[in-house]
Amino acid sequence: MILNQYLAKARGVGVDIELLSLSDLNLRLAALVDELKAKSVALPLIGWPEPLLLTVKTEVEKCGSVTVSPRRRMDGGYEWNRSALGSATLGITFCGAFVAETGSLAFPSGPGFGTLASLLPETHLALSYAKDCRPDLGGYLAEFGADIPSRLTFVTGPSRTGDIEASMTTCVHGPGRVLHWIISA
Amino acid sequence: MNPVAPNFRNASRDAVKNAQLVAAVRKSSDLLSDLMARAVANTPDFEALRDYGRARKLEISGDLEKYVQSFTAHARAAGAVVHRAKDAAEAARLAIKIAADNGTKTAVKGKSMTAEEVELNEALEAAGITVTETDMGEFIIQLAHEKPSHIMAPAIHRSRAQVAELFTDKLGTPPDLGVEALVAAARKDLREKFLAADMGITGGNFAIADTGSIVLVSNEGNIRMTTTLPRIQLAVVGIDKIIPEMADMPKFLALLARSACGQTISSYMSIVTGPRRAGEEEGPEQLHIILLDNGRSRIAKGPYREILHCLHCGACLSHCPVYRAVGGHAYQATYPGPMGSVISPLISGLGIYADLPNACTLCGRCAEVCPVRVPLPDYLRDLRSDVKKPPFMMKLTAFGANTPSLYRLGMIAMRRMLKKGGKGLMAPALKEWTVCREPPKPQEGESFRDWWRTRSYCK
Repeated sequence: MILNQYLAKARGVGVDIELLSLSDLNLRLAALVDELKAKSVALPLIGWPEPLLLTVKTEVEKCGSVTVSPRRRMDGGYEWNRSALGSATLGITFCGAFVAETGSLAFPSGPGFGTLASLLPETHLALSYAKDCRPDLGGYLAEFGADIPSRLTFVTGPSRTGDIEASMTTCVHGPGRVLHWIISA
Repeated sequence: MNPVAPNFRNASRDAVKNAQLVAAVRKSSDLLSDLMARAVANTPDFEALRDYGRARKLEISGDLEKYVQSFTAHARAAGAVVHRAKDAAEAARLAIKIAADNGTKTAVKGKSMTAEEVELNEALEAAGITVTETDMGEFIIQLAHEKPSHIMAPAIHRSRAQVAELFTDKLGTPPDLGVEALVAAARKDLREKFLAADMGITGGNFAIADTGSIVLVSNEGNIRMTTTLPRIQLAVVGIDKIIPEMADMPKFLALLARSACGQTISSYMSIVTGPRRAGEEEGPEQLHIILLDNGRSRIAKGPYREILHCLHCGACLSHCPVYRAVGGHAYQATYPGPMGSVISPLISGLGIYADLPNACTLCGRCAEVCPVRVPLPDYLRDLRSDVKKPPFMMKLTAFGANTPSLYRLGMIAMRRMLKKGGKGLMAPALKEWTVCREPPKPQEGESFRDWWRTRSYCK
């Protein structure tokens, strides 16, 4: 029920949604990487439930693409590898919560949980489990209580602008194409 | 912002003659109004939501200082540096100091009307910091050295052809590009600037008192870049943007997104709570928040308090017959349109912008569409007598209209004058009105008063 509401909302703002089973994932990934001719794919290596990450990483590399982890070791800690991220054709991230009311994907920050892989490439693929659909924004925000992460980002459709003659155009600064693949358990 | 008292009448006279401008403003305004109407029609509880918005905003503006204190404490607890600026000059000084203390040379900026209000770009540029506007509309007007003409869609007054010409001139793009190619050119130019900038500057759509968070909405993604990539982040936020709890935010967001451009939520929403935390790879090392007063505390204590409830959605602009006829620049103020005609003279003191409350037909459309029911037409009417003493003729007319015997004499004189085609003893009273109108012909036959006297219930 709420998943249907999400589908209507998110499709209404131009999110390309597919419902698939885990066993379909390899085939679909291979087709996408091929379609985009993605030489490099931004793939954060933290925050994935097993075995999803391994499946994605293995399949993308099997297609001949290089996966770039946005994270690299710097003096005294980690930094995102910005230039590698910026040149990736496709960013793949796990999305642990999406909101039916608004059709939004939610990305809380935390160590290893970056948002640049979903922002810098021209295509963003978010993978979720169907069970992670939330009914509304207020309820989802309440889950955090007083413990709000430093960055909480909601993505609702592709990057767009109406600033020239109010004519809607996508792919301004963020991805022009947002894919959301929802895996049924 | 303008040393010479702006003259709306002269500026609007020029604007209405500019056919391209009028066409562009009307087209965009029509589109935005249609989008809003459709979104509101699809939201069955929208009227209840507006009531909630107004009631909650009344609580806030009635006790503004309490919420400012609460926001400050919670934002500090999250690691933000909170500054308070009593006026525009102090906000600009603070921003320059933050930039200088951190050795920042380049800044990328998201669209912020509050930053426009304090003329932040001019101040930072004067201090040697290069500021690049990254919102598509702001980017265009920065290239053209213009001011925003709409609080939500700043380049609404320019046509696609004009933008193409500007890009060819400033960015060296091929001539006469279409909208998509123009956007792609801007993406390329700005991407490098995002990755290189030391400082990211934004406004704030909401500031949440109970968590110390700043909420920023955008459709383009420039706000996400600005709040993620540079090592220093600065948010300039008017104290009127504070709302009590995170739980209030989805409701105010619902009002804002629908009224601004007919959305349920914008493409992106960033909730920023403090700088990057230990172990995190992204986000700024420092988050500075300048809370701008600039007259807001004073306004909260006065008769026009509800103007602080404004969500800056721009609906009153797109629906205003005056704005639609002249565009935003004619107002010569940071905030144009109905909300601007109220807030501009209030912020700047009543002298400057004294004629803006007259840039209104009192048609009431702005109040019809305002998501938090700010009584804009009432305010505009009241401000007229506050900013300008009524002229002698108006006082005389008021006295006459309140004295039945004088009123009767006046009406007789008026009929006589109108029969003579607007000439005679009382003609000066009509002078202003007849500049661009023919004097009306008096009604044939008996007058209303004579007709009234014949009614049985008057006897």
